[in-house]
Amino acid sequence: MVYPLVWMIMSTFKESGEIFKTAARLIPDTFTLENYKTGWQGFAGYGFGIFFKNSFIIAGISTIGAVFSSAVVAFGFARCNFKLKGFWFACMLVAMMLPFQMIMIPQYIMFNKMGWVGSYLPIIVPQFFGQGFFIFLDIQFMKGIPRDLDEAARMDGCSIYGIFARIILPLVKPALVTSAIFSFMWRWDDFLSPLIYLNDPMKYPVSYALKMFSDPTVGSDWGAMFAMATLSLIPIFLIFVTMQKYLVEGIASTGIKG
Amino acid sequence: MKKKLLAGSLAAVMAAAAFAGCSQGAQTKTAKEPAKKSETEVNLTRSGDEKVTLSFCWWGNQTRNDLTKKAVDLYMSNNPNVEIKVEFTDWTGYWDKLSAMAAGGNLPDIMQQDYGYLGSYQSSGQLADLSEFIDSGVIDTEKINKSVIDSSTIDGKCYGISSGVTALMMDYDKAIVEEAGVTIPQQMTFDELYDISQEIYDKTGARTYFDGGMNTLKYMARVNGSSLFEDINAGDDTSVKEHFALVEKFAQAEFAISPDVLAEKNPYVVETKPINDGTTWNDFSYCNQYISICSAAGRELGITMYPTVEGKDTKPMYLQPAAFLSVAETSRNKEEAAKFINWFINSVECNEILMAERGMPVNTDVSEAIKPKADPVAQVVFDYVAEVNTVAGSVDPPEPEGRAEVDDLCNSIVENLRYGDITVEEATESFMTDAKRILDEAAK
Amino acid sequence: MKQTEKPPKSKKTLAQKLNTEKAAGYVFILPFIIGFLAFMAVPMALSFGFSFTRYNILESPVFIGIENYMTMFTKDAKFWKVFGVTMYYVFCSVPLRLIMALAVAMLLVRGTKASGFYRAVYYLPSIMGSSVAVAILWKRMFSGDGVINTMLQAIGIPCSTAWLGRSDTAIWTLIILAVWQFGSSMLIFLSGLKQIPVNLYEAAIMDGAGGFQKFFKITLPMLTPSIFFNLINQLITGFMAFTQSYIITQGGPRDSTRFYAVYMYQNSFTYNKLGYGCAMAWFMILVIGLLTFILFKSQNKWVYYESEG
Repeated sequence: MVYPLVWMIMSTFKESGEIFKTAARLIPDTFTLENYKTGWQGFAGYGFGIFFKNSFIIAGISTIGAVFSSAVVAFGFARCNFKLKGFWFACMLVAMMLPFQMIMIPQYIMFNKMGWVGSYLPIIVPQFFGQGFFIFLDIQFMKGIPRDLDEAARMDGCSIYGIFARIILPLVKPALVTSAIFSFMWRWDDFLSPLIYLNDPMKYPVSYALKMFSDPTVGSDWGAMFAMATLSLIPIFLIFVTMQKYLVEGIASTGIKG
Repeated sequence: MKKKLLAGSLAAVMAAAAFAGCSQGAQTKTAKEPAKKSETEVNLTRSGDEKVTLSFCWWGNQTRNDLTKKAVDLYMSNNPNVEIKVEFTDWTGYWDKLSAMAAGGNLPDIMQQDYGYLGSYQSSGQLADLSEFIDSGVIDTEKINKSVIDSSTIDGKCYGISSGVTALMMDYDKAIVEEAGVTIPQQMTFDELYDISQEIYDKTGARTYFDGGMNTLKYMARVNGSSLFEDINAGDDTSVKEHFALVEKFAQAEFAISPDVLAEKNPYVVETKPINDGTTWNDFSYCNQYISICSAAGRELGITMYPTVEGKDTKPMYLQPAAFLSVAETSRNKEEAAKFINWFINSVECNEILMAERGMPVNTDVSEAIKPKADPVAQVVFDYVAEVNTVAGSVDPPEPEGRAEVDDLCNSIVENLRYGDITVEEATESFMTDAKRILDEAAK
Repeated sequence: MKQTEKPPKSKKTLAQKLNTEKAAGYVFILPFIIGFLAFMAVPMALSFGFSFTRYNILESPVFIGIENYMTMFTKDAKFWKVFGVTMYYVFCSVPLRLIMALAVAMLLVRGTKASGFYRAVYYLPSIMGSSVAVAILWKRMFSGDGVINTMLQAIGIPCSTAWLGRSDTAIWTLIILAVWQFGSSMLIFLSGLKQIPVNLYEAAIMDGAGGFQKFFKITLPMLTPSIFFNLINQLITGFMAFTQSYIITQGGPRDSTRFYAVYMYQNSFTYNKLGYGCAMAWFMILVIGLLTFILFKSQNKWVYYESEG
């Protein structure tokens, strides 16, 4: 299960040229930290310190936006009946099915006209309007909560908004946590939108910077790439480890009566 | 009926949006940015000169990014009125990004271009004509081989200056060759290669790889004094048939690397080339990859020219321009961009920093000036390029649109040939018809 | 559309109006509608429009009617090849991955310290994603002299197949990769399992139900919303699978691992035929959409929602 990860970490201590030649072996012949040193320096004076900071900004803000906006939208779909609900739901699903690459060009033209190209706006702002995947996930969880709870709250004079904020939201915490883990990981790993929308190396995130170690036409520094790729796994892993505790607590202990 | 209307109106909306995107986007974006910048900068520095901002975009790895940024910094300190904003990315991402930028009408002032893409960008009017700057002397081409300029000249206008040249090569394992007791001539014929391969296999067990891809196919057309894309358009299948026959011959030989192993050890990726672990004794590539292949293989390899066919007096070897520098048609500062390109290509101080990282400098004086500073492995490449230069013919014209698809077509046909799925005749026929169709469609 | 955004005219106060389900529904999904109209609708419509044009990105698109679709269905042999490969991949990898994820989630649902550790371990492969490191290692493991063959030999199966070199086995290395990265589905199952009220189990135990019965009578039905979600989601991601094929096998050998999304990308950006690529994209949406539709329709047969009784 973890062999690939161990292999990758061990490889970062091998000399850069050795990685492919000794790929079958796990333990490096000589132990070196050189890859981390050269890798961290980054490119043309833009170090990985900058790239990590940028990644945290992008992934952090996007995640907050995506998790909460998605929960709000999901409640609308899961608990309310209104006209054209099916239509909007279908729109959401189709948007999920359309690969980013296929709308990349028109979206670029659009954001370019809005004057957003070159900033984080095209990457972060859309996250604040609900993401199909998370909306759908939240819906599935909200549907699993018995309606009796809503009814009871209504009796007590709670508005729909109150039901959402005080009853449903706390109960779908596992879904929110899961969303947060995924959102952070996906934004952290996404390199296509930064590639298209950013044009200043000062703003590049880690995911995008990692691509620049390899160049099929003149050769790649695999050692440095592996070293930085390993470092870039740490934040997503830490997010998972801290968040999963909340999954374990779960709601079973907070007690829904079925 | 309804559907047609819908489709029609959608197409209209879309076309309008796209048009607007191209024209307006270009003007507003590029016009606004430098202007705003220059105002503030002028106020800040209070210098008499007007400040110019250029954007410069390239693909590359860590080494190239570091060196190029260094060179750019040097240029900026020499020319305080010029500010150059750099952007760099990996090869695949570069072209995605560049096409988005082209669609939005804000290509960078100076961009690195490739032989395979130059044609498409030129034909769609994205690139500025550099001829006027060559004529006016802003870009000095005196010390540059004419064929280098010709390689990026379309209809008499030059659309990019090559920042370095490379050449096809066959690299080989010196130890295996020595063990087999054969000598590798400077340039052998394909028949000689076949015999040598057999001998090496008998004596050492090392197998032979024969590159069936587009490089060899295009090369074969040159051997016959033609060019592949002209052949395809003219329906002349001589070179194609000869090439596929060779592929089959080398694939069926006892010494051939098996197609499964070949598919696994992708010879187009430096790190997995079958020569690295001695599965094969030879490999085909461009000589600007020589250094990285040697480092991936962990030993110094021998280097020789592509094989040829006996009794041909054509000049199939050529110097291939690697990485052009082009200027965007939408650029507001074409002349400043041209000045920078001139410095990048012709100045020794710049190329002492770059150290032929993009291929041998095209300016022969510069190339000689920096050669003594190169390390021994790089010296091999310098010598090889010089050697090719003595026998090189002129390079094929920039490739037509659709060439990438023809590339893949060739690869998949060659793969079928290697697995023995089709005959040489079938391969030739399907390549000729499909390639023609692809080119025709792309030319529409 | 616009009419529904305004609550029906009545004498109620604004607060009361907004407290009806109809109005509140729109208030809640408003962010989505705004975001969709602002960022998605136009690019989506454009990409649909592009599918009826010849468009190389660098020049303006030219309207050519349904030619792209005609080429796709009748002339492009590779199109059906990649479609078949992708279907095969989806229908093999999705069920295997879900079964794996569910099984492991069942094992790890208890909140002990050790299971926390194992959850992390099983999640790791998903974190690594389709990075280059995974690509390199995968190639190594499945090569003729790689770990997999050594292991097979160790248990007495003489095998020296170059798994990635044969067109019948290469796809399975990618399926195995997909199954190996079951972490994200597992996570969803885990949170799904956490939502099952404990008292259901308590009641079942009182009724004398065994572990087997508990699983089929309680766990599985209560988990169907998560299963349904995972199924739809995996279906979509399966069809969109790209990186694995792109960086591990480059589509080979003999196109046996060239995925639909890869071919679509190649057409759009390598061959500069974005119009054709868009046509491919919309055909894919049609196919996934149909499958999703069928699944949604089948929901009331097997998916159990607590809120709907």
